[in-house]
Amino acid sequence: MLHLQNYSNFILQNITLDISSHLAILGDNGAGKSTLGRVLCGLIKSDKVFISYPPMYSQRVNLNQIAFRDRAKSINYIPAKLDIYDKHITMREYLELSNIRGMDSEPIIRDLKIDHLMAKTHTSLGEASLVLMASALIHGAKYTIFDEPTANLDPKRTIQIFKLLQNDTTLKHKIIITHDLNLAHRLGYDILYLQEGKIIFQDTCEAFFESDNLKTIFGDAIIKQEGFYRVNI
Amino acid sequence: MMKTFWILLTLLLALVSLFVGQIELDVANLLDRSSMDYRIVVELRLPRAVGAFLVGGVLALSGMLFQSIFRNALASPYTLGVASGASFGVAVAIVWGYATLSYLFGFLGAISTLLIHLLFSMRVRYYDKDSMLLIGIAMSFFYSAGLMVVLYMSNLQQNYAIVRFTMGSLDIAKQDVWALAMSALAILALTKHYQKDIQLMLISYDYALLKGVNSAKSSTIILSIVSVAMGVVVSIVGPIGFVGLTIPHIIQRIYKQSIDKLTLPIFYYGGLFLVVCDTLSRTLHGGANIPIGVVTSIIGVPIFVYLIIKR
Repeated sequence: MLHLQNYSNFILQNITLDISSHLAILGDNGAGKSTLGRVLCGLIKSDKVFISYPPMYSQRVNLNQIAFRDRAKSINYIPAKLDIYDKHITMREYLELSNIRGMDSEPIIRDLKIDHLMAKTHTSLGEASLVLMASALIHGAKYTIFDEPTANLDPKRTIQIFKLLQNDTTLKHKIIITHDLNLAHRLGYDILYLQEGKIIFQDTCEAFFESDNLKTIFGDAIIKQEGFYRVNI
Repeated sequence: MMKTFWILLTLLLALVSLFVGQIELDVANLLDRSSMDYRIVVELRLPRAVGAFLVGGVLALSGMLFQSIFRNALASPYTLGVASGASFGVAVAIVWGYATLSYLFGFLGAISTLLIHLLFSMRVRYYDKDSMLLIGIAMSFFYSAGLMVVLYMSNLQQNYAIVRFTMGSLDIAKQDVWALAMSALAILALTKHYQKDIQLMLISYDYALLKGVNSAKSSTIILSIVSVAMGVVVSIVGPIGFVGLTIPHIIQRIYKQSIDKLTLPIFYYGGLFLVVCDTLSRTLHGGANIPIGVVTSIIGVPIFVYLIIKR
């Protein structure tokens, strides 16, 4: 189980959180979703993140105090964009560095049909989303945080990423930060909603998508049409 | 194939440099160990060529490591102020009349600059890579100002010695070659040992952390060892700029690979570049040596500019 104990910073306020299953983090722009993700994985340093293993959930280990390598095995964060400083690094080299467990990464690359990208040093946004997905699977952390995995993608690619997230059985705990209500709805993960740095909702997917709750959070901005959620513009 | 050809050609060039100089040699005499020609090559030109090669290699590889760690194309061994610290130390030694101890002073100048950075990074909360870069450049200016003061206070003879030192010189004595070889070995071993960390940092610091690498620790170790090696090099040959900044860029543009894989080419061509420049500095201007810094810039700048605009 992943725990965040009474954490506050420049944006988040008194966040206490236990994550033991898949989770979707929703929230307004600037509410602190990505910040929360970066705190959980250690990119923003804190001493308030703990991890515990079944069945001894009472024995919490501070993520700050375990070896860098062990933390990497526990938790991973997939950014929205593929950001590589040295423009000569190939996608294969990028993915190989994600292979921290020394497994055979070829089946994953084949499954995602990205063999043809491996020798490339530049990719389109859509191709990059597949490379990022592959790196999550190859890394295979116990907790994987996806920061807006479908942002800026065209509809076909969005469906492809959704299916990969839905069908994957290898990642034990997926934490998805997103603005896409339909994605959250179809994945069916528990939902956490952030507003101005505070958790204002944390429950099951069904409870979140009850019309009264939607009304409280979004007002008239969201309407439901034939089982899908659409922005009321 | 092309690359092997270039390596062989440049190696040949380096060998030729042993036979070029003010004193013309009779190659036939080289087999005679008691001849003057043999002694000139083995006692003077060979240590100088080997020394120049090691200096060039260390400078180029230091540049590559600095550019990788700071993720900044303009970073070079001079960026942290380490080299300027060394120059200032040597100038102080000359003015105080400790010219024979100038190596030690140069080394101390480099190390104390490094210690200031390490102290800041331990005590100052937001001492990140950018602050380090900015404070390093600020310290360079500070040392330059100090150098000016020392120059102003010195007499004519000291003044000349300081100016000659700041121009850089590859008059490398035999005993210095060992110190340079140790520096080169240390920096090559370092690059090899941290290759994976460097590769991760070349993607992003976030990526390195997520893959379980303590990049703050490894970059501090790398910067410290490089700074020590720079202290050794600068105190022996003076500040020779340009090699560290440009050779990594030139090699990456030719090889088109990520920089962590180019350790040996960067070291090799950095070394050869300086050997060739030194040969020219010894021969172009009949009687006296042209300062090495002048030659590296005059030859290096056009090549560099050409490669940047060519794409």
